[in-house]
Amino acid sequence: MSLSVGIQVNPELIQLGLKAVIGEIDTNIKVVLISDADSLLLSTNMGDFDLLIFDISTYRKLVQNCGLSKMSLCNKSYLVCGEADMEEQSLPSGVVFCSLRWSLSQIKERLLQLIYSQKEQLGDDGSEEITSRERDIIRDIALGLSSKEIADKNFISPHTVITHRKNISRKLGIKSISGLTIYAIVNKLISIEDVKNMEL
Amino acid sequence: MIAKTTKLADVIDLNHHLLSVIHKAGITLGFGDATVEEVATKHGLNPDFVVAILNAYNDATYLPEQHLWSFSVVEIVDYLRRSHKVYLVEQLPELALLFEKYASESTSTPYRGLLRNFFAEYSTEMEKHFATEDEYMFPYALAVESAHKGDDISEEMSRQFKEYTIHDFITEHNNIEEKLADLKNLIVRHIPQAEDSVLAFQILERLFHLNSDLNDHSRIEELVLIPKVVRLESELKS
Repeated sequence: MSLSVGIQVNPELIQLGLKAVIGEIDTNIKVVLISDADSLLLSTNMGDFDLLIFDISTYRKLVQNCGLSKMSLCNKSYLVCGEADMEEQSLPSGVVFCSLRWSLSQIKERLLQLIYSQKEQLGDDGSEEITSRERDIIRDIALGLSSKEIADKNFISPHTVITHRKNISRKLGIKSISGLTIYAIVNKLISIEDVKNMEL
Repeated sequence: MIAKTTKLADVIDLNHHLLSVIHKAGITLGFGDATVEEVATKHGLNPDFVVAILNAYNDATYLPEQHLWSFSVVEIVDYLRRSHKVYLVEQLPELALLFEKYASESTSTPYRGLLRNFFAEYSTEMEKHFATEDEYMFPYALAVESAHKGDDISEEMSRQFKEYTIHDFITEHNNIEEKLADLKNLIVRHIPQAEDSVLAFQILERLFHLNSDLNDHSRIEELVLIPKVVRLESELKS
């Protein structure tokens, strides 16, 4: 599955421009233009994107509504578009800035960096097969371990666990713990006796 | 686009999924060649509201247009409450029965019990979610509207609603949708059936139907009711 990018920038012409630049970088990226900030805030769409591009006013609105901590938990990248370089100072680290006054090649460069780092983070190797590491993690999730516990047990960072979980959900189409538990039982990763609250 | 002058029977021919809207609006079948307006009036419903809801379910891009904003919170809540009842009294119990039957059928997958339990878990969450909306969100929405007309709003009600923010509410919607999607995927992709199971197909058909129905239902809550209440609230403060 390819990366998906949501763009909510005014005016619309700029949205189209950004979409065209992303298309030049990678034609497989799914780009969705979001018409107004309010529908983005209220809709469930936000969770579906790996990278979200906003203008500065939408970004501020979003921080006000969702809170910064909640946003940073989503494991996705944000690119904020503004006019002056000054605005970059006001953004927290982790939120990338891009000025619409920059030259096209500068903007493209910034998008390129973001897209590649996001792809790397997702471990997007293009494969849909579950890896043996992912199988270990499914087993741990089914046994009721938290992300922190899984990280300690497998000597990886909690952040990596989250990335694995995201990949697992994407590949299997299963997100909930109960759903993954059933998958684990069906695929003999765990036995039914391992899970208490479930009976055949 | 469905209009007030469209015959209700033609509406159903156009898209039979709208039967569920008609049912939830409390309209009974056997309405002959009557138009949407005539049928709605006969049932004491606002024809404009019925037309708007039919269009919203028929075409996902119809929302969030301004149309639905013109209706009162009372009308919207009334429809949403009736929908909850249909989910609770009909759709979820019917699915539960099918899962029960499926679990007792030896020809289905050896994992049939797991699926039944997973559905039960989903169903319980759903019931809790509807109850929270019925108990906190709807009464508050109604109170805000009547306060807007000049009535007082009780502090207790206001406090309860504040504790349950709109974003919690949307997160909860997402979590519930997640479970339903998982359930569908498990049956379609991951659980091998022992034999060709008629019940598995029936269950899936209903799950897909429930899913799209719930999406429309949440869309009305998230894109019409909540923004409307937020707007009324801000007008009250200013």
